[in-house]
Amino acid sequence: MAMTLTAPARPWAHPWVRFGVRRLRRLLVSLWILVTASFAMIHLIPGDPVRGALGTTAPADLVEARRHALGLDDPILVQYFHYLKGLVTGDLGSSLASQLPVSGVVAQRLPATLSLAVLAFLASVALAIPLGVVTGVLTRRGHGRRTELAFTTTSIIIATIPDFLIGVALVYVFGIELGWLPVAGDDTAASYVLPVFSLAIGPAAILARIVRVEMVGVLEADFVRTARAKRLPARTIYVGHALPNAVTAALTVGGLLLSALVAGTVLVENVFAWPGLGSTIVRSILTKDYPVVQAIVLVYGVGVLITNLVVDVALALLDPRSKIRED
Amino acid sequence: MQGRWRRVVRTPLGLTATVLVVAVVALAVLAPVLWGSGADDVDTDAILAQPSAEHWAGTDNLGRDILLRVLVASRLSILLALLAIVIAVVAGLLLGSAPFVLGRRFGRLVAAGVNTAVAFPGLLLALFFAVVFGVGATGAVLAIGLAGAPGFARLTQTLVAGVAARDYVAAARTMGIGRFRILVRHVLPNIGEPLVVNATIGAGNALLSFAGLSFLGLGVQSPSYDWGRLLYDGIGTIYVNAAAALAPGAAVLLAGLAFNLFGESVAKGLGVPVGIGMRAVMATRAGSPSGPEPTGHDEEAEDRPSDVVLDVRDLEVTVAGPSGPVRPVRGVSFDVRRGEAVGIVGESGSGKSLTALAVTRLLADHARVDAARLEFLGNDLLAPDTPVRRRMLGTTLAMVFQDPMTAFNPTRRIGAQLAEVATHHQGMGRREALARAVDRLASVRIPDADARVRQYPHEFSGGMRQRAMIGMGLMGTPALIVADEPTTALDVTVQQQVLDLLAAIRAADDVALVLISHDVTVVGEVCDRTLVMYAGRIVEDLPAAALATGARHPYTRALVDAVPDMTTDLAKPLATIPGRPVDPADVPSGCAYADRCPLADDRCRAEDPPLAAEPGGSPRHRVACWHAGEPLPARPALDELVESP
Amino acid sequence: MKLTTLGTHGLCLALVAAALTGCGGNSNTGGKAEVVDGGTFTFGLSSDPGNLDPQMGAGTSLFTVTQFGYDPLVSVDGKTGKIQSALAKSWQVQGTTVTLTLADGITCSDGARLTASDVAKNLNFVADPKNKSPFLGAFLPPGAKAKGDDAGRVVTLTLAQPAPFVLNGLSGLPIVCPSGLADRSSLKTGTAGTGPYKLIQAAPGDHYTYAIHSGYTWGPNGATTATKGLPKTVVIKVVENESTAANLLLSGGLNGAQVVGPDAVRLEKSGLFVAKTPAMLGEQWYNQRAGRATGDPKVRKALTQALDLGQLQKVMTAGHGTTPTTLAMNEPAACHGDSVSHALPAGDPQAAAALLDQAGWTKGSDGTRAKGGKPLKLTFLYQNAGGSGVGAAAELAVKQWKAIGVQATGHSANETTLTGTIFGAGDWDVAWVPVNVNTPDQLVPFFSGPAAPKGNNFASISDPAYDAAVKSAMAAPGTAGCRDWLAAESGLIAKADIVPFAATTVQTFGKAAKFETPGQLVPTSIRMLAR
Repeated sequence: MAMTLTAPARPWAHPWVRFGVRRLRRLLVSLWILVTASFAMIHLIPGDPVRGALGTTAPADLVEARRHALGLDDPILVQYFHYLKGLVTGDLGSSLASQLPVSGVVAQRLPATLSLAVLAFLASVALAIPLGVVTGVLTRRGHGRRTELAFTTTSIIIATIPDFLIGVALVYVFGIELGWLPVAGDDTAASYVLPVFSLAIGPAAILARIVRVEMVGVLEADFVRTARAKRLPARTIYVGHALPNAVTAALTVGGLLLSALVAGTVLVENVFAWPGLGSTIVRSILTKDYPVVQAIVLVYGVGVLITNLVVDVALALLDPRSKIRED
Repeated sequence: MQGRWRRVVRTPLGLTATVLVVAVVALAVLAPVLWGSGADDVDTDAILAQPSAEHWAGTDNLGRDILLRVLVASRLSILLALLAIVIAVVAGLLLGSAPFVLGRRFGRLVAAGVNTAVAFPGLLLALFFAVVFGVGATGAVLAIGLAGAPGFARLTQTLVAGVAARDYVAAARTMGIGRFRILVRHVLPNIGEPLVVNATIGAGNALLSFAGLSFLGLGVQSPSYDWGRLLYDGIGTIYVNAAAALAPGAAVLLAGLAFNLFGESVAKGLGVPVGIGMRAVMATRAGSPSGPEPTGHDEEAEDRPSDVVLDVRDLEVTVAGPSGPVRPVRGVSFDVRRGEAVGIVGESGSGKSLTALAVTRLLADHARVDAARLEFLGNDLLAPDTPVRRRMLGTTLAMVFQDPMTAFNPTRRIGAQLAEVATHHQGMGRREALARAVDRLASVRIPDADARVRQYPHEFSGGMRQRAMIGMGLMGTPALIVADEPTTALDVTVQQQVLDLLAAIRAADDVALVLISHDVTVVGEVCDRTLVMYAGRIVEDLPAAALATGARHPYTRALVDAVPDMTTDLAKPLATIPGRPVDPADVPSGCAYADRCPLADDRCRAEDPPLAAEPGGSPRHRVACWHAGEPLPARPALDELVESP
Repeated sequence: MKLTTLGTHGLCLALVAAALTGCGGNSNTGGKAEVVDGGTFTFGLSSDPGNLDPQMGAGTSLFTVTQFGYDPLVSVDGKTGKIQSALAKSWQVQGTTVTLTLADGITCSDGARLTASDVAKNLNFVADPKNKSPFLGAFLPPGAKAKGDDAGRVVTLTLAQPAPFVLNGLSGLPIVCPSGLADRSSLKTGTAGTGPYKLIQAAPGDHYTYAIHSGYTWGPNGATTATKGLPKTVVIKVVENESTAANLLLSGGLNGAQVVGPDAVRLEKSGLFVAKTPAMLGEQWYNQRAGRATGDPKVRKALTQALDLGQLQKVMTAGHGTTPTTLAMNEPAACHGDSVSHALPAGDPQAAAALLDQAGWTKGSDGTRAKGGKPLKLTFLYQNAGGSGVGAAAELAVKQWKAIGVQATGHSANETTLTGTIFGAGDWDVAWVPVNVNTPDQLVPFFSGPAAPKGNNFASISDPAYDAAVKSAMAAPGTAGCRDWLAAESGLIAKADIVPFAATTVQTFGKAAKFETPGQLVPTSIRMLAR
């Protein structure tokens, strides 16, 4: 971290502290919006969630007692405050279907989704950046017209194919026909291969395109010419000088892609019977198990917001000019 | 506007995309008409049949032909996707323009809400809304439409903010026109194009989102059917009849692809124009009829004195132009001796910068460089690049570029960028190299070099950056510094500092200098010798001292006369050279300056004069003119501007 | 034997692509593979059981896992319907008194002995309406009181009124051990029972691991855990997606799973072991609430005759189904016979049209019938899953009704929404709701009594003939009254109060294992086979 020539007299005026406070404030506001939205959802659903969860032959008085126990007869504002209080103390309620605490469900299933999303993100970055850099170099100004066309078209096509369709096709080819890889569950390390690939390939294509475009742009920059004038070896120029500047824009998109990856897990988990939050939320929506849905929505939201925060911090670290200029 | 859209269609990507989109829309319109009844034919004896000649994709639970159903489903699928994207765009427009209309406080709240929603993955938003609106087509359309709204809201916000910052909007505001009217009248029409392009791509994504929702069973419900519904049914039976899922899947893919590709190619087409590429340039290498032309310098070829640092003969640079190869440098020959300062002066487009870049071999990607001889310190620079040559050049040849603000890598510290030279070419370790960097920064008179070395480029002022560039060049032991307009981007006071620095370095280590500039006076002050370039050729090569009064080429004289000094008559308009510089793509045969030259005659227009010393003149003064030294006619009245024909 | 696992008190909605409940079973054995002792049996369950308290939940998955950890008082033979021993070695039913004598040496998973008073405590817990057990009314008649005599190991159950199938009901009521009775909350994630296996590890949502209970000798009809071939460990795995379960079966990741959707075809072809049990799939109900068009018996009959029920069955089951013969058909069925064939109105669209004319619904110019200005528009509810035939059959039914001038709008809904609508007295006219039960008395709350939302009579059926037939059937104990019960059913069917038209076979496939599934997988019937 660069030190300014004169260190600030008051520590809380330090640019990093101000940056942190600003982002934290924004995070809290976003979280509040998310919490309120997911609470509003339960009250916007038409129909009786308790009857829906208890099923056909539950006696009417049982349904009534349940409604009362859940506090669904209280006025809305009272329920809202109870909900907020529960959130703060970590009580996410109990599943209407299984009567087990939701926090337990979330705690049990979160690692599976998290590991899948993180691995897929790493895989797509590991795929995209080298590919983008290499194609960027190959298609720099005026060169490789055909390569550019082929690359762009291929990546658009790959990015268009929905991840769950890729998953289904992969399961069919590798799991059933060839039998090389497991088709479901997360028992072994090999189980990760197909789901991670299905999730990562689309974002990797998009990211590679962006890295390529950025590389091509950066390679025209004056400082690259300076690096060439210093007669540095090609690898140093591309990786040491061009890449860090190209990655900044890619990083912004990368953050968005992580959010998209999290969404992708919902579908891919269903294809691979992955025991994560994605398969749970769909089932819970269909059976109207609202406490579970609310909690998972919250978890996703928090995850996405934290990811964006991490991306912003990484951007600020990478680009020394950005922390001074705040929007 | 039409031209740009037409250009989009011309690219192979754009053409394919347009064809696909048209095909998809045609299918949506015609398919139910052609195959609607066929798709409804129930045949309970052929339930869940495998693909056959009669049913190419097999049949479903009612024995209906799956392929026909896929074709007929196109209408509902496209309609739903379009409906969803319309909802997304309208909602996005409303949300995105709200901050502009509502003012700061409420606008901030809306913006915060939109930013939160954008951060939230689209599919989850759609699930959220699907729960609220219920299962089925209406719910799904609303869900996907509203889930796409935040993205458009954010885009609208950015676009509106961009337009709102323009002067005419500010003017309207001061005139008291209401925000809403400004929005509708001024802002919205200007953001239409990017919105449409994004909406097209969005339509493709909406189609895919429908497929995703239906995969979970939340989309269209029977008896209606769209691709998503067919996909849902098909995936259930995928292991029995894969075609039942592949057919609707392929349809979704193709249609989604069509919209996405179309949107992408439009976005691309409205931006960068299409050139002909380097291929054409390289293709003219073999059997090129216009190879490097000899310019009559052979007699000097033998006696090359041993203190020549840079030796250039018949240098040519060819680049790709919009309608064919272009040669902005057409046969340049000069040499630079040890400790000598050579200035290259000329207007923009004369080829002086390209010459500098060409001789220092920094044009590899952009252009083709040919020369009869190009040697630096006796090394042939035309030979293929080797690590040995790179090391040699890296330590003995220093470059200084025009724009100090962008010449350094903004993400790395100055010290690291200087030290790189030493670690790569001089075999130093990191600490040693950094110490040398500190030393070099001090030598170019940057104060507090110890602290400065750890700073980033944006913490240096323009003049300091330029000096740091020079310092970087001094990391080795340069025999030649090539400076391309080193002071053009600097203040006049700072200019002098940099020029003084260069002079000091030359004096201290006998370093040669090639200084490129459009400023004749700077060149006159700093250099020993001046090369005047016009239209890719050297038109005069003379000692700098002779510039003011001894120039013999009409162009040089015009350049010199154009510079005002303390004796210029303030009442008259500034002297200019009438006409415009030659377009490198359209160089006339004969002398390129003929159109603007008051001395030009038919011989000038027909024959290009060679660069040679005049018989009876100094051998160190060469001119390329049939009328060198002739007195210029009186200047025409400069009150009227003269347009060249 | 056990009553079927139904999703809820006697009502089971068969989802073709989700967990089905089936009862009974004739299994077809695969080859002559060698039986192997010990080993681990991995079974795939399509949904998580949730709260494991065996008397407080009503999910089908819960019933499956309950079989491993708990025992009922008696069991029912899958094929014959005969009552057999379980925890009780002998029993007697006289009027409103049921006397059961417990077997000797019954131990719980923690080693404690099970006494008669423990059993009585169980029965009284369920009988107490304050405890809100879903078993009350389904497996234990309301108003029952139990007493236990520890010396003679006799449990006496006194009923409020005679219940002909009380023993069948008791065969579905698992008995909890004293440690569980004392600390009810421990039953949420653990077991305290006498069953052939005990839960040693629970990972809710993922899997449950059971270990064998050695010394167990009080299984159905005296089954023990000493038998060769029983697995030492049982892992119940939650596999929600049927295709995944099928894939796992083929690859060997599962030893058993119930697969009823299109993937079953794949598995059938692969030659795996199959245990079969029949289940009701297509059953049509009419909303007979006052003010509805379907409240008119002529309209109901016409709507029934307009359909080609055979074709609907073919489409719904992709050709594999059969016509049900009784309404309470799940194995172990108490009453065997045929109450359907001679009673079901024959398909005759012309007769249907004539009936509608008689009822005053005349065809308008646009083809739709109307009466007094109101068009004959019906809301038709059914349950559908991807790739299943139910939706296709529904489309066909709508078409067939359209042919006689009835405009029906089909609404596909998932189980939760469908049950919510019909039990919440929602808007519906025709609904396909398959009801799976073992004994005809379990159907009584659906065909008579208070209408929904007060009771389970969601179709608002009020048929005095049925009520009278039921009264006389109730007088005879057990299977003696079967003839009366079937006659009662026929009466309803003939009047088109209920239209049963499709029965299917629920298949549970096995790999390297064989077992029996009369309604539920019977743990003591599992035999591990050499691969």
